[in-house]
Amino acid sequence: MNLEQQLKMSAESWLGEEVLSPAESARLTALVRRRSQRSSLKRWGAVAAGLLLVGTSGLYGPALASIASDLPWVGRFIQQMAGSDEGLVWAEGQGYVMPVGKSMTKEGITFRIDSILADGARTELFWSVDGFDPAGEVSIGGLEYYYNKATRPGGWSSSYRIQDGRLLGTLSLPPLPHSVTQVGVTVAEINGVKGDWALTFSASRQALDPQTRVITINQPIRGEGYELMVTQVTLTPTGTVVEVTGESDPGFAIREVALGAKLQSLRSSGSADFEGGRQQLSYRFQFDRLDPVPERLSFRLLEITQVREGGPVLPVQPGARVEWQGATFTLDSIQMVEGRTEVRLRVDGAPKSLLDGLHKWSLRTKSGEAIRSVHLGAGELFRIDFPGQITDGIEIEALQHAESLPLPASVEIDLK
Amino acid sequence: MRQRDEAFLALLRPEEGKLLRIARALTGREADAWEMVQDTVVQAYERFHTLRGGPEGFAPWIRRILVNRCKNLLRGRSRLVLLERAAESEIDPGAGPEAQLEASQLWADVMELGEEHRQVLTLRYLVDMPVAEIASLLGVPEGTIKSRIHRALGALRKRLTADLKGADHA
Repeated sequence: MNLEQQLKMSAESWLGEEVLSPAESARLTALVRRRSQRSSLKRWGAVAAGLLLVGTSGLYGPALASIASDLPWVGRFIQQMAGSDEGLVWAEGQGYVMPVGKSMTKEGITFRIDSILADGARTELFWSVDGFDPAGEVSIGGLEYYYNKATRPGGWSSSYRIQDGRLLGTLSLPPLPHSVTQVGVTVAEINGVKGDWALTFSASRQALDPQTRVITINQPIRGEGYELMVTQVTLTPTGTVVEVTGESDPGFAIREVALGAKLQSLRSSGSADFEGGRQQLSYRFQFDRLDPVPERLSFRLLEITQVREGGPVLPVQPGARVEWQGATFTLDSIQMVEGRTEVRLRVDGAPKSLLDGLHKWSLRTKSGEAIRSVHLGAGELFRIDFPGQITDGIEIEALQHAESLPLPASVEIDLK
Repeated sequence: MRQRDEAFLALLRPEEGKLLRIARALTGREADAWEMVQDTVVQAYERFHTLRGGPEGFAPWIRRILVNRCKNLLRGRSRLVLLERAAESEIDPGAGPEAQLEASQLWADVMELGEEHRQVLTLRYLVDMPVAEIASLLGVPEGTIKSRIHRALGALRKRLTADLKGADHA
């Protein structure tokens, strides 16, 4: 029996090992009971909401002929994203994904920028590589970009895959700083071949600029240790960007935000500078397109955290257990592996932010030495690595943790 | 309690622990998993009238609801991957050391894999979703899912081999 068959055959018996406690089971029953009492009222509410959406959809401008149809892989690729990036799907359908057609061949490998979508909310590049063995392992090294010969103004993300024997990829960049901008993309290495491919081309967001609105907001969000300002919202047919600036105590972070009732951010980027012991913050949250654009919309912080010193402390003994901040930490094992000491912890009942905040650990030895962790495997089963073979450990201790802060009221944004 | 509610709870009872285990495998966090199970129970109850195929259809039906509830979490996290390697290739059907392992050990090892590998094996083999549906759910191409499954199985094989070596030495 091969591995796939083994996984299928064993799935049900493994799932059946999990039995809820009577209290957990009773909670689910209570949920059903409460729902049973409210169900008829909720059904009428859902019908009303549906009618409202149908009555007001389709506010954006006229369609253009689809240029992307000349580039079948780009169109197919985007259509596969339906449901996860409506703005991109809309742009492809309306012909706003424009051809670039720039390429460079080195060492027999051709790197090409096929097309681009650019507006005030985003820049998406579609690239491809030909001339290498697609059956083998694929690696791309030193992918970078710049605008107008300057250093890149922010982060990027990229993904790639093999389709029909070609390597196809996307590159998501911040919006072009000007209506027409010189864009450069470089790739240092493809599949171990050092080629320093470099492409430059002129990109424009002019096609969508007339449908772009930048609205100054300047609405404050204040809480203990932080003072933020929602400065502006950019609305385009392909996306929505909310910008937030402010200052805070060091260690403050916005982890999750939402716009309106259903939009959670697709991407977020932020920077923090330190000045006079305070943290200067600048966030940019990108959401999917709003269709229709409502007159008013709420912007909510869904999770904010503050790093605090200290954390759970456990004796270095398998089975050792400690309760901390409502969660149970159990030391499952400690073992020596290839020049390191690997400690595994199980964490049960942890609040959402707690596990993410436990970044730094220290292992104290009998001789009084405090050895800092070098690696952390995230998840409910923490794996904490310490350098060297430590045989005289006494206890491990989290040096800091992130504490969820009370959430401020949402900000009402006027989009009229 | 109404007859409909009793019927729903009777079908839910043997499935609730399994839902929690699937949710934990997908989200990787106890708090998220429990929240997703509760959401799923509420949504399944409200859509109970859409269940087709009688009691036998309940388990796959409610598991799909659970997966859809987890969709935003799964997609949100996959967007954090900056640069992803992906290569089309078929899954190696050859037998490995896995044939000698118990089910609980096999899936316990799956749960130790990285988030992306754990999720894709859960969706494919615990929820029994076709590759195309997983691709649609996660908003990535089918080829990416195939290669993720391939790499996840490879990572699992390595871990299983290590388990067996450990057992040999024990």
